[in-house]
Amino acid sequence: MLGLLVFALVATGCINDLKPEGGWSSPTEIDGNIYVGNKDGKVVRFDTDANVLSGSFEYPAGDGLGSIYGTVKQVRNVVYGTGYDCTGDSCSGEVFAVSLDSGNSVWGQDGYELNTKLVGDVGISGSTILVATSAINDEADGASGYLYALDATPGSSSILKWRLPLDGDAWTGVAVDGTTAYVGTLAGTLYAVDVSDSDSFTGDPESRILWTWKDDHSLASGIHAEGGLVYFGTLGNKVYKFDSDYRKTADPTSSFNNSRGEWEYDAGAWIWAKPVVEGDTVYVAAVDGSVHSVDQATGNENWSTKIEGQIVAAPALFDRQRGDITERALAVPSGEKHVQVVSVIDGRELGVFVTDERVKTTPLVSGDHLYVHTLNGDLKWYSLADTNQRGCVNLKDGARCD
Amino acid sequence: MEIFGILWLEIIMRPMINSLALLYHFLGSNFGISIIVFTIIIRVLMIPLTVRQTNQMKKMQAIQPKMKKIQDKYKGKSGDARRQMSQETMALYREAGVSPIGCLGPMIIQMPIWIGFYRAIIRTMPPTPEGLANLSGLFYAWNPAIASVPFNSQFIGMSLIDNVSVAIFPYNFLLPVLVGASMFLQQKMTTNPTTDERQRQTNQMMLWMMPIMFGAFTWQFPAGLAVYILFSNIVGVVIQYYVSGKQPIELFGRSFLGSAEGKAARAAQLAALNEDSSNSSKGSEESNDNGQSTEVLGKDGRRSDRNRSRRTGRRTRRRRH
Repeated sequence: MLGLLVFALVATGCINDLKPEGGWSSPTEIDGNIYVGNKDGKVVRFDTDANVLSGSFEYPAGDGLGSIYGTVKQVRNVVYGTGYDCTGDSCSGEVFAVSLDSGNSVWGQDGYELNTKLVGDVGISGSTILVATSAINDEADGASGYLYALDATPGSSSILKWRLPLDGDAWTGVAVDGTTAYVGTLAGTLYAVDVSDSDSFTGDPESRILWTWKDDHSLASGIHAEGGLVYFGTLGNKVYKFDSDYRKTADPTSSFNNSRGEWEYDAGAWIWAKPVVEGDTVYVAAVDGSVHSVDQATGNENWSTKIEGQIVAAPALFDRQRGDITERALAVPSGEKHVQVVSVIDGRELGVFVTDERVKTTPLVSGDHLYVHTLNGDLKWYSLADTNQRGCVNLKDGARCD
Repeated sequence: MEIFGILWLEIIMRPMINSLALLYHFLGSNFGISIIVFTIIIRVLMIPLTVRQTNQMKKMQAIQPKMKKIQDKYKGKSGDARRQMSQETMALYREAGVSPIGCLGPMIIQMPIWIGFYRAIIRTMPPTPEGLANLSGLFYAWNPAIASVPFNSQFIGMSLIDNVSVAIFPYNFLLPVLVGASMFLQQKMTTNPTTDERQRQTNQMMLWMMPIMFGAFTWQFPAGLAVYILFSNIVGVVIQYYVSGKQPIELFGRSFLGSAEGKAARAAQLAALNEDSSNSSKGSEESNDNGQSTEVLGKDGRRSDRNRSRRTGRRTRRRRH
């Protein structure tokens, strides 16, 4: 009898495993301030000059949205993003559009409510904000996920422009390159969607699909799209580079085409972090802690190294200075209590930013500082020249934690 | 404490998660079926523990009259007399081959398995990004099921990771009721009749309270856990039926199932209990005249007329002979 009682208590306590924790929102810099979604599901502003949390900006003003996983995006003086709360698959979420001036929603009192999981970054194309979702709770016969196109215009009377049904939960977020948006699903499909405001799309949203590609494994990683090229990882350990123009004519299940510069690279573990592209190199981080440098043209490996941890956020590139020597480096959020610094030349370990708390966000390099949002809800900053010069503030109450 | 976390992970969690994932991989990508099959496997593997627990309970029941005599003998006494009582009780346990915690032992061993299984269900079908990311580190390298991640949580029209309360009708009502009913049945089969009034009242309270409580908890459990508990109870009932020698299942004054041998064994058990109870009751009333009532069970397991008359206030007292 006692056993059953203990079991009941433990089982009830473990319900927390069903709720999103958050703490995955990477900081972003806008006009000298840092904006980030905190552990309460609120967007807060950090003043980098005074190194304090701004008391005049906090959205929403009351209870938070639950958890914010994406990085907030800015268009003019408005920041956009998503937050949600769940127990299991029963969720309530919100797409927010917040004025940087007033801290209030530009769509009225609240944002755009969607009863679903909202994971990953939103995409912005012109006056359209693009949001990837899981299934909507109150739609019994709905699709497994959607790509929502919302009117980003402040004061818009009709926010929803259109929505495209997807074949699974979309946790990759949305990447935009020109008028093409890319979104992946846990069902393993990558969608390339025309998101232009052309009148020819007033009918079926599915006519916007430019091409799709189907993998045997889930897509959860952020997508990098630039110049008609798309880079993304899968839970099948692979990273792909696709040529969007070629894909429009290719079979959806066809493999990569080397002659078009397409390739796949096996990282040996799940890829959750968005690939980072600089020059002729693609940097890939996997959940087993491995970091890979891959030739952008051929997909051949330049080097790979392994750090301790579970990497789910993209590394940040920065110039590491020691005396007169400046070296290009990757700041890799380890998933453990440090940000590892490795050389882009050969993957050699150059140093470490000790964070004391786990890190699952992409570090932000701004000026001569590196900022890190840690999993416990703190924002920590370090001088790039001297890692001993550091500071810390709690993103809930603004209290110093150095 | 970290070592306990590592042991828990490596001995309980990872084997369970990998087993569940393997079953999912080979059973048509249906997690509900995986949970049910795994529950059956776990319960079957624990049959030796169930047999041991049942035997211990039977032995305990057999020595109850002697225990009562010892307790009566030292009633109201303290100091050395209490120590003497403890020694006599322990001697009785040794003589009967009973361990005082023998009944609890198997249950204590089962507890980590139950809790681990629950956590394994949640961690194998994580509804959150962090849960899914963490899952990658829990698979064995050789497990082909990692290619099937994330697992489909839908089962007969409901999501196994959603709370039962938000499941579609009729599952939202049916699951708590079935969990409570199956638990009641299992409790009924494992609770032995007793002549001790206080014990009987405790048993009766637990018999009803636990299923009701668990049924209510189930409302807020993930449906996958409810499915697990339900089938664990059902398999437990079947196993208990065979382990106890196919004794009839008594519900609300009626008997169900049971082989001829099982019915005979049950009748003999109740008769012995009734006889012991009569002797004990007589001795007790002769030794003290405080009017305390001791329930006596009839051969069919029902209360005797003598007790019924007591409940209606028509108390009869015997004169000392």
